[in-house]
Amino acid sequence: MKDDLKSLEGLDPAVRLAGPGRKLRRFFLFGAALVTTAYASWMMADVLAADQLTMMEAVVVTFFTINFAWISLSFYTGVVGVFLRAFGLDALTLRRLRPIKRKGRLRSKNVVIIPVYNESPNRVFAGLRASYESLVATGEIDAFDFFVLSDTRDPDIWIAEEMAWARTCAELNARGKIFFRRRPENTERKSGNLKEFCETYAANYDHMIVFDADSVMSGEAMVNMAYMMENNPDAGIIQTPPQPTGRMTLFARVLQFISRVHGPTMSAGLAFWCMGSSNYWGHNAIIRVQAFIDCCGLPVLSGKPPMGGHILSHDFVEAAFMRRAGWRVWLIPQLEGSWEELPPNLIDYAIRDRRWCQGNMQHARLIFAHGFRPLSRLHFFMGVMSFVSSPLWLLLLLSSTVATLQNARLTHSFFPGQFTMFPQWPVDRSFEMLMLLVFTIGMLVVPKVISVLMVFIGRDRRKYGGFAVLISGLLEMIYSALQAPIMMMMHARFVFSVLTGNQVGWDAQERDDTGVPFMSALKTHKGIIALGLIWGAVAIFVDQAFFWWLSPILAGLVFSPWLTHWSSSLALGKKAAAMGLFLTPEETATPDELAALYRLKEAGLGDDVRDGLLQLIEDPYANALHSALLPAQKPDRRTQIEVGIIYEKLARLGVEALTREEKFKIMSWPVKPLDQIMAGQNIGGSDHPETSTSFAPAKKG
Amino acid sequence: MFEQMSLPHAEKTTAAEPVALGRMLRDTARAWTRSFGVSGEVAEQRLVDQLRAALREDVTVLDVNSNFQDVLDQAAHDAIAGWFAYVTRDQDCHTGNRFAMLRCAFLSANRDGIWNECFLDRDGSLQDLALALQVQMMLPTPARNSRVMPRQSLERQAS
Repeated sequence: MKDDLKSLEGLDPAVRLAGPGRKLRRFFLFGAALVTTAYASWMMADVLAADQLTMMEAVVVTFFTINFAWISLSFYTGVVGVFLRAFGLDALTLRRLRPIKRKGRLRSKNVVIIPVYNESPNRVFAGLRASYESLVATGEIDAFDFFVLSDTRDPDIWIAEEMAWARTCAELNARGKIFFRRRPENTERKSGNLKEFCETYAANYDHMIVFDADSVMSGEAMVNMAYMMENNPDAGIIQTPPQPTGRMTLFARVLQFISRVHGPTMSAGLAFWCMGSSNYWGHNAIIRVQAFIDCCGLPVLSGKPPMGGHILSHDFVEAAFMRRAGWRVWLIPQLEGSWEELPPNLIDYAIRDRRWCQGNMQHARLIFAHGFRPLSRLHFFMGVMSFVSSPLWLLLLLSSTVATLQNARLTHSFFPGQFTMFPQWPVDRSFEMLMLLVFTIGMLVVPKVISVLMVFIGRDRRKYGGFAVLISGLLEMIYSALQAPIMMMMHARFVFSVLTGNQVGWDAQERDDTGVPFMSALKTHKGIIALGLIWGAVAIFVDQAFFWWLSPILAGLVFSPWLTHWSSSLALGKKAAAMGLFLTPEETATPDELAALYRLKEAGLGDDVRDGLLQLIEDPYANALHSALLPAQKPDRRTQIEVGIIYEKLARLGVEALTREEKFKIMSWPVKPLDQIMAGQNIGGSDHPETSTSFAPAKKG
Repeated sequence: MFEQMSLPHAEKTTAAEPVALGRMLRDTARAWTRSFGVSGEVAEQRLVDQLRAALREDVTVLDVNSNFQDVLDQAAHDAIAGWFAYVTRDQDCHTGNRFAMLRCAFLSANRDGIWNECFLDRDGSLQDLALALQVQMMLPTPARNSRVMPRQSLERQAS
């Protein structure tokens, strides 16, 4: 790789990505996490071993140690982040943060790519337009192209995408700047979509900025990213921390709020110790194209899915391959103007997590694979642990219950073991137990509390609702405490499901403010409720004090349908906003890009998803456009016959008679050019119906 | 039903043309001009004339198994593509995608119907139309720049 690096002369040192004490940072951070974990584990063992350590108590200590190590690393990352934010320091250079001042215009050619799969075209193109217009305002639009990479399989959405693309090009006068490419076969899902792009058009560009379907970025952020890539020839990926925004349900607003308040703290902490070995989150990041082509072709894992086969969560793996080839991967917390959207409710959030869980669990097979850097292995491990920690917590709690049950049934032995004159009195360690609980909870919430307080005493307090930020922070903590047991149960089930060989399909994420009806929530959570009730009954039977100890968890489980239903409420979300709760600067001082996004979404692009085939038959422009965008290749003989049969069905029975698959096939492989199908229709009503064919739905009755 | 029609009986003059054939020519021409967003009898008649001319030439190659509507559609396609080649001075107008892109461009340029009268006309200067088509021309993707993205290995490489 070093041979490929350009000369360092002429590079802007102000944006050089480097910093002192990389090894020292990691030594102290991991060292602190390790020491704290050792201390907490010793405390736990000491408490439990007061009356001799049983086998089950030893199991409890083991699970506690693993989980605490996880919390501890997160805690110290947060602490470092708090420190950096409080003093306004750059996480990499440890100098005062300064805005990026570019010297001269961009020299590179960049492309913004938007892979989509059955997404709302209205939302995708509204985001594209908002970002495009923002780039135009920077005066650097000439250095950028846009590419919509469609993997869509829904025929109606397919046509709507094409129409939205043409309309966007026309309205922005962006012909030759915004491109549209649809893949006929969507092998390997999103990573396959990117691979196909890399093998066909990507080499026309130096860097590519990867968007998700719900991404929006400011022009300033994109230009700064490209500028950083130009001035850091060893950088393979630069990741921005995307801020979730734009949703109005209570659930999403709570998450948006805490991500805006606490997210920058964690990002700063992560960037501090990851340095050039950061991770890639799959979108809102810029990638060096040639490096990506050379070293990020994903392998196929041996064995069957879900643990084998094609790699699902490609981003972590691509970052690891970049690092393996010597390229650096940076997370830049101060790169603002990068947004994404969250699922609107807990159920959709869990559905997304189920998909991620399968992808992350595959990474377990990569942790010990050949050639990866230690930090890449750690990222894989952290990805696995983000889901496996849930069953571990569950096991910890269940083993605690069993241990308590055993202890309750044992009668205390005052003279255990050998003959002695002195009895062994039972030791009350409830105080130490309480201290350990406070200690653990403190590790979980202290960085978050400090982040909230920092916002409260900061200059931007009004943008977060003023005094209400404290109430919002408190409510968020209560909410997350109640939600945690539900997520624990769901994640535990996901992990079990993956390990027992079940795999998920590929569906587009819900991107509207959709609520969850109570009965639907009840149906989803019935297992969790039953478990909560049984667990609670056992706890009361064993020891009333233990019941109260477990009560926050049991409450989360038993009240899960109410929590899911109410938190998905759009009305409650709006009410909270009206009361100044869970506000973010994106709402109180909306950036131009988001204002444009909301305006465009509200107005719609006039390209609602309709019956795509009917549109092709009725609208000459849609028809011509579709023909123009189809790949110039002929179907094989078998497909020709199949399509011929569908065409006959269409001619005789009309559009309504065709299934989705049939529509998809005839639109992918028109038996004759679509303009001829168009020509053969009866648009205005022929005097001689026997010489023309009407494809419009037949009138019923 | 037209597959069984004996085309050699179709006379060269419209006066002797079977009624069904004449109707079919008109319907085809109307459908094709409509699919280009063109309304007007002048353009329609031009296409009918060109279809007739094409049929006279193709009459000998037509066999009983040919779908007559397909033949007419192909003739209409060729006539319009030929006219686009005349307007744009670019001979590559017959291929599927190129033809469809020109159709898109024409539909956009002719949104107000200003080019209705010129459709399939070869007499006047159509430089303005050529320019309008150029402005409205689609560019779905840039030039391909093919590369191979090799799959990485997770195995230890033999030294």
